[in-house]
Amino acid sequence: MTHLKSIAGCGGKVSRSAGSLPAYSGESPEISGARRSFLQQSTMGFGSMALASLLQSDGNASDTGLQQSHGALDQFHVAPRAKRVIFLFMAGGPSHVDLFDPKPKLNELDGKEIPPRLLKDHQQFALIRGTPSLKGSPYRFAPRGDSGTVISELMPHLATVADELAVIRSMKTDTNVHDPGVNMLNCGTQLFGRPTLGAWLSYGLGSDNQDLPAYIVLTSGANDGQPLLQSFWGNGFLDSRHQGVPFLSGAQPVLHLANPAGVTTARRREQLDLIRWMNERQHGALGDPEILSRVAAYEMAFRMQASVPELTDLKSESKETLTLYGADPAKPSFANNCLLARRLVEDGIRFVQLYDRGWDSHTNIEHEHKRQCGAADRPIAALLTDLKQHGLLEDTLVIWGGEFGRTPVAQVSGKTYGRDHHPHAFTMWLAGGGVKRGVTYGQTDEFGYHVTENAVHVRDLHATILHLLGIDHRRLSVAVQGLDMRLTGVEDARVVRELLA
Amino acid sequence: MPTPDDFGAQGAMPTHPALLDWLATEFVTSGWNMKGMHRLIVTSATYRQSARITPGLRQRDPRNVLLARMTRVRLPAEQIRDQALAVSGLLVRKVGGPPVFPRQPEGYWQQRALPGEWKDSSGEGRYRRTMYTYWRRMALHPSLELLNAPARETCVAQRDISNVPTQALVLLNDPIFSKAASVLAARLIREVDGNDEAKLARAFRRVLGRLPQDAERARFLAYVARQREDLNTHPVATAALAESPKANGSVDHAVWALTCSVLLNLDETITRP
Repeated sequence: MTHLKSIAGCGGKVSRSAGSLPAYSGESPEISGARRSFLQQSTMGFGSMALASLLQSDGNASDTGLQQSHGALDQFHVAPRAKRVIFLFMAGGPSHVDLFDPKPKLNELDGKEIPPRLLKDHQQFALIRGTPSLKGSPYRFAPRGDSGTVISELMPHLATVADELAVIRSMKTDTNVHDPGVNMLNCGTQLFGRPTLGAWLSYGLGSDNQDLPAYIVLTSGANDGQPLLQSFWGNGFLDSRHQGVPFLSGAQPVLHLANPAGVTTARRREQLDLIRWMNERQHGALGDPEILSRVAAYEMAFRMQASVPELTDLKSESKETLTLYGADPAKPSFANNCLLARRLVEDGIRFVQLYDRGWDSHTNIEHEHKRQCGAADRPIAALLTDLKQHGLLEDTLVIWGGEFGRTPVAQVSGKTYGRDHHPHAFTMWLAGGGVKRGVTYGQTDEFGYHVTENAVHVRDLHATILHLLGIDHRRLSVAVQGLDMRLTGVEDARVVRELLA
Repeated sequence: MPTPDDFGAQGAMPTHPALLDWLATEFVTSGWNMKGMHRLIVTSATYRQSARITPGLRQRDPRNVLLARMTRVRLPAEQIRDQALAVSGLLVRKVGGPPVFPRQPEGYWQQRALPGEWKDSSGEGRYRRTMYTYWRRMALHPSLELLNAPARETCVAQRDISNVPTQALVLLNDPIFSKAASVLAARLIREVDGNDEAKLARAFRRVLGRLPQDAERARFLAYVARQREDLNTHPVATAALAESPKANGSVDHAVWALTCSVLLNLDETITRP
């Protein structure tokens, strides 16, 4: 079983032996000898114990490859096939029936009212009112590569790496509302306040690079898209050092890396030592775990000052590579983020999540999806190619998808049309570490409306992802308020073994 | 009420419905007296509790839903900057007027490929309250964005607050914060006619609103002595740290600039209560 690194446990000893609060705000700074010795003990003794655990400078896990990374897991539950993850999150929900799941019948019945039997026993559309008409896809689909994986003409570059993909056409989620839907895909529940997948992995597996955060978030895309919330990379009830660290888009993803003039590294180190000493003391008095997370954040910031400048300098990439991605280091883009993602996983970052906004095409989907695919298709194909060339694809899991698909019925808007949110069936794909290459899994009905075969609920996807990373989803848990909380919750979740190489 | 921005079907239920009802009727009975309600709330036993988190409380109510302690709140982005300006004495208290353009990293605006340009304000525009900072949804002032100010694409009733290393870099290295530390240092030297101990006491009072405890005093004075020893032999660094002309680039000023920067970065400084 996993366990919380014992910050709470250490805290218990201190608080039970402590009297009332040290006087922190009074005019008189005098404190009694007993209290002073408690404070000394608590800051020197307890503080450093908790910090050793928090900053994890003391590797003592067993020799299963986890001893260096300082995660909560002592050992892998199953042999890991992937060490790190790149999650390409198409925020808003890409249209499965226009990209990966061709429906000739839908095209044939284009303009006809949706058959009522499809609407039985499920939640209403998000925005469509009344009985909508079926809407076929205007795009040509073709089998690609040796595998014959079907991809539409909207993603011509992805078609060139079709043999790397495991396409899941039978995804299902529980809601057609954006934020709860993003929560589902990140946290396994619609509720806010739970840890995201990246936070769970940071917690469970720790980091293979102590000089950078384990979970880094890159954003791109349409600014008028659905807003991105902090909770999309939140830590929930885990320590906040496990939350995703968003980099800024643009040529300087991390700002203020240089010390002020006159502050050498040695002087900064002495400043940080004093800041840390004060913060540990504050923690000794108040017991708030956020304070220790702040200490960890300051220490990480110090290391990032050395590690980040080279890492984020895309100009150091060859012209061929920049062209492959379609990346321009001077301009923020999804392409830059894909390239940066490769550099991050190359450096051992556990979980890189790219949010690309603008997929929520309620109106004029033809224009919007063309725009989105135009910006995303080439860099995604480049990423897979580049990871492979660097020998990284074999142990990096790439995940592509959004919080749901889009309806096979039209949401009419003047002369144009869009598609509404569709949670009952949609497509995601996996590639890389431990995933079967060139397979298409699951089926939907003739309209792409419901799953008819091999349904993969978001929980099943999570169980599968954790499995690929060496984790049994039932055994990565944290005790919170009497419940052993886990990513997949209490309902059944299956590892989709058919997708495993 | 954990979801103040959503009182609808997807919002959470109030945690103390009877109390909420009572407060509502009090509000009406008082003749909709806002100040009276504020006083009622902030003088209540619940509001005045210690923020200390015992392990028992942490286990039973990690998010403090039941209000058995005071919730610690990291200050919002604007207040963190305003506070640094205020304690150093840089803050311009002028009210109203057009937005200002406090300095941001060179090229930041251009990278966002936006029309127009960000021309750093000169004079008092650099030190106005942060609420007067020009607000562009597509390119929020980066230090505000990093400290969790929302872009205002949608209404935000409650901010998400994170605790990440990129924020530490703002407080340590953003020129406005090193400037505040430098100006506060100059002020200590100018205003406090005493030894290091007296200066330290003033610095604590200004930044933390309290005096140093014995152990803190000893630790800080040792730090000050150590920096003075170091900077005495490094005139170049000393000059570089002398951002404020009034301080004449003295070793003393450099030492206190480093020390004040430490104070501005403490968890206690940026967290309420």
